Amino acid sequence: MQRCRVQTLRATGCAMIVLAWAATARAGPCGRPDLVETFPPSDATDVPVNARLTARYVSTAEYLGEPVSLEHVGVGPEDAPVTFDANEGLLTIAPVVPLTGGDKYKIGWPALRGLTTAALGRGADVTFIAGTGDDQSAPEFAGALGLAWDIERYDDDCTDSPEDRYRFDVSIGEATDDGPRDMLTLVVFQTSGPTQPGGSPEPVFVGHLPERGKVAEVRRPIDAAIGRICFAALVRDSVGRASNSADHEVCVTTVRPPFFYGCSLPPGRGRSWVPIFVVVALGAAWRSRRRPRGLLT
Amino acid sequence: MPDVCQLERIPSHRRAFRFGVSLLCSLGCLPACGRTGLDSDGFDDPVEHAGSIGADSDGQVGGRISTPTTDAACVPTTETCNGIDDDCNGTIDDGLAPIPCPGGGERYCVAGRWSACPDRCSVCIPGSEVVCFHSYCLYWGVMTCAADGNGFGPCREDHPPPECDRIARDQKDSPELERCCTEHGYCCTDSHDIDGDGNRSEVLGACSGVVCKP
Repeated sequence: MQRCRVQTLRATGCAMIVLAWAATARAGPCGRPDLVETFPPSDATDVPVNARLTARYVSTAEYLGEPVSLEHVGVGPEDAPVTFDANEGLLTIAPVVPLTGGDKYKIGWPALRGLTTAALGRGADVTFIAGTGDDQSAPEFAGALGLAWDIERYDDDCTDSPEDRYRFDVSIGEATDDGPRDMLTLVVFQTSGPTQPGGSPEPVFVGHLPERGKVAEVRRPIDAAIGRICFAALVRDSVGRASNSADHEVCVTTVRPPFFYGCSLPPGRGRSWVPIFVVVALGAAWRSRRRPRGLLT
Repeated sequence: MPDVCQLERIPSHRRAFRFGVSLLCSLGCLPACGRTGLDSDGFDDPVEHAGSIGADSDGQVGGRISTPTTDAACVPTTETCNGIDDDCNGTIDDGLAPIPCPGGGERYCVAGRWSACPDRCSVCIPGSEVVCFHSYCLYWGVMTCAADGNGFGPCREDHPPPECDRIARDQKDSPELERCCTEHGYCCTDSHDIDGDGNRSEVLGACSGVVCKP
């Protein structure tokens, strides 16, 4: 019984350290309908003259006809019909006249309203320079190549409490296209898991193709990612053509939490907690030595 | 959830080893600390480790689910989304145009199957709330959907609305209180299964702006 208390003390110390670190991991305004990323990104160059110009907002954003401006810098505003894809949160403008190669453009992406908040989200002004040619062919992509997983605990701004998610780091292969790399969109699908028993692969990540050597971070609810989990990926180019890479799958088998975190702290962060852990550990060791011998085995 | 006291069964030499490792981890002496799943025997054995890159926990590398047809006897047919090189051109499921979805986005041929349409809502609308019930104090609470829409947070106690206040005091956590919740325009957890379908984890009431599939 006494030994149980020591183990509990040790586990509590570990949990305190893990929670203290996780509390600073991530925070954001609850449900604010912010703009997440744009295609092309700001200051992009060599944008294909036939590219669709898109902005991705968070899932709570609602488009209610806010104006989107496209300015041909030094020439004037240009007409461009606007469409909103609520499923992916994508606001798209398609210029009536193709872009002029080598010229500079400026897009005013609006601040949108949200489903659960009265506050406006964040918009952005983006400038870019058009390239000289069309995006004509589909991208070539090696697909998902590797997979690592971990449990991530973060302090959620909506629930005001720590939340646990599985984080999958999907290693991505090389991608090439006749358009620039920063116009490629990565789409990751979960192809196997508790919520896909023989069902359709589910898109779980949409965003810019990570830089070379970086991974795509996919976060999944605990219930959706226990057991054998597989992912596949493709990329879309600036006009929406998809690569033929989604037959590659990478898989891992996850373990249901909670499990032992090991009490380690990330490099360069939380070093000041080390002495506290040492004190807790030494305290536990001291109490272990005080135990009657008979209880040890 | 494993009881901490289960660790009692750990042999003393392994316990001492583990303690030493934890101490070295805390001092930054071991580079590979953390991110370890506690396996079924209470230790994070390397063989059973989760989290390995490019391989599953059985050591099997995940990869191409099927290989292009190289059989000379391959009979070309129309390529369909089935994970097979139907047209014998050496590439699986190639040249298949995505299928547009009604609400936007497209379905793609992925791993031999057509993907689901993208959905802005994973589990619930971020920031939305659902009523839950406590068995003590005020008997009424609220759960808020997380910022990523992947689930609800804890049930936090809250004052019941005036129309349900008396029922909460008299009937406490009860089917009557849950019925009052649903009848007054709230989205409520069905912890008393008042619809009799055997599912106590669903939500009932005005849930169209709360959960993805009310």
